[in-house]
Amino acid sequence: MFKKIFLILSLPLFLFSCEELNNVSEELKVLKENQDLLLKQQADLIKKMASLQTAIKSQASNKAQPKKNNKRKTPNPNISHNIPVGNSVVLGNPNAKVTVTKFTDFQ
Amino acid sequence: MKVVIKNFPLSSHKQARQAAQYALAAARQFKCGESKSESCYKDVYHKIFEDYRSLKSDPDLPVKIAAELGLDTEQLIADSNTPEISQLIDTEFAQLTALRNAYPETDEYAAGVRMAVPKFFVNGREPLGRDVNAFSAMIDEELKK
Repeated sequence: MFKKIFLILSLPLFLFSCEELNNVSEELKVLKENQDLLLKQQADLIKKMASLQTAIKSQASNKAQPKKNNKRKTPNPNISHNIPVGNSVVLGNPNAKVTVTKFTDFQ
Repeated sequence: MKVVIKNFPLSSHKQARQAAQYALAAARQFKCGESKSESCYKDVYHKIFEDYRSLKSDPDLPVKIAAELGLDTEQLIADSNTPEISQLIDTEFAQLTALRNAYPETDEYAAGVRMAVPKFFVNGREPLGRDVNAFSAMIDEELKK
């Protein structure tokens, strides 16, 4: 007899809790979806930041490169030009092994 | 070591060529200051450089310097206008100009010699930079050859 009453009484409770469970799982699903969305957005942001970083880097190296190119190239010190002494003024030992030639302008 | 002096009077420097002519004329005289075997070129050359700023407004500066040093200035002026000296300067000028595009440009080096003075060569080679170290390193290299 008691059993019967208990069953009858607990039936709505059971139905109600089923309903509640359904709601909770529904909410969880939404939360999960939101989390997925957030994660996706975060991944996108990281990607964007990375691409910005590389853009800044390449910008910086682009700036540095023209500087390097603008720098006047040096003469080639390995090439020995033939510059005959001719009748030019010679100072020092005329028979010296090393000749320093100086081109000059008085003004 | 010997030093060969060649003139490269820039056309924008009006007194430069005349000064070069006077200096070369001084190379024909040997009586200046203390008597010595060298010509008067070096003395006049150094004195002109000491006062090169005045040269612009005073074209006769080299003659005044020569007079102070005891040179025969009449002879100096006459010699300075001889065709030999004029031709020598032309030849010297052309020698540097000829090196303007002496070799093709590479990734590392320029195409030729820059037309700027003073310009130095050590046995025909242009030192990298004008500091003493660049020069002495190159002179040492040449001495070892």
